[in-house]
Amino acid sequence: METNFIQWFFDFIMSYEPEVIIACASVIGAGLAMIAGIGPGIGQGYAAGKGAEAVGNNPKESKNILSTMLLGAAIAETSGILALVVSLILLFGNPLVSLSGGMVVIAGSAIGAGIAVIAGMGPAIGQGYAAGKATEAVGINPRNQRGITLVMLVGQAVAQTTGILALVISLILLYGNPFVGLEGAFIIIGASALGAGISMVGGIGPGIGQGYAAGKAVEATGKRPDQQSNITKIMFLGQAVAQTTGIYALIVSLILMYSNPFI
Amino acid sequence: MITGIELIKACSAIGAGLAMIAGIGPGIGQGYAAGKGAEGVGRQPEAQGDITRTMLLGAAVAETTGIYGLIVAMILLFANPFI
Repeated sequence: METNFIQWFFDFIMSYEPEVIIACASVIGAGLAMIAGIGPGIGQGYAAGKGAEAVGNNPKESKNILSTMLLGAAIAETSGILALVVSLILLFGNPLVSLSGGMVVIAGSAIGAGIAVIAGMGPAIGQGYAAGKATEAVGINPRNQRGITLVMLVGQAVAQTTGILALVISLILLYGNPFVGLEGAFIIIGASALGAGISMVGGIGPGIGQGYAAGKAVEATGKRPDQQSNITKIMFLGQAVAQTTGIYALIVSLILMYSNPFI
Repeated sequence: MITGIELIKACSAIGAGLAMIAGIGPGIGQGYAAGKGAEGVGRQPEAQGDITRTMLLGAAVAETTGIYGLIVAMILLFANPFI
């Protein structure tokens, strides 16, 4: 059989010590994880814009507007922090380095763990949108600040779900890796670890969508505080539907990890 | 030595993960529908039943591509035509 690219690639990798290749995979994974930072940037920027707009329209209420904006933006930061934590674990407390096992499998797990938390981009964008809408609503109806803030926090909490699921998959790959020590072709096991991480990226969508729902529910609560319970009910119902593809991604990831048909 | 079938299985595992990225779309779209549903109920609480029905109908349609992605991932994992 003539030398193909994949074979050449793995021959090239195998010519290095395992520690070198695992270190390479970890630094790539650490970098990929930080792509999640796109989310808080967009979301908090939106909230900041809405805050500036609201203060411009209603300077008297600038204190309340600012406190709502900062609270919402702080929550939109969550996924960025989680990605940073995974990135720092890969760099400074990497549990994969000390593992003995297939080098390619461990390297695949390191990159997969980084890719998984990119999902956090979605919740952050969505939560930032909700924060912006809450800021706007407080500027228009300062008297309803309590209800507005409550709906914002509840909606943002739901929007965080896929980010947490992605973090769980990432931590499993790092600390409870089911692939290490498996018997079988290293390339299949390593690629499955990578695929398990990639799958979770689908969580971006539910995060954005659920955050949008939270934002609109906040807006409606500001206008009709008497309808807060009905508004929240519809928001939850819609968010539950929007969650489905995030759950599908989790299922595929778990299948790849625990009931992989190829291994 | 990596055999051909091993390479196909490895690529299928990555492909199954990539297919699920499609879930981004339905998530965003259904979330938009949920947001507009909440907005509508706030404006017209008495029409809550109609609003919810329309929202769920639209969200069901938006779900399709997510299901397609899931089907392709499952085919790659469990009914792979190349293996």
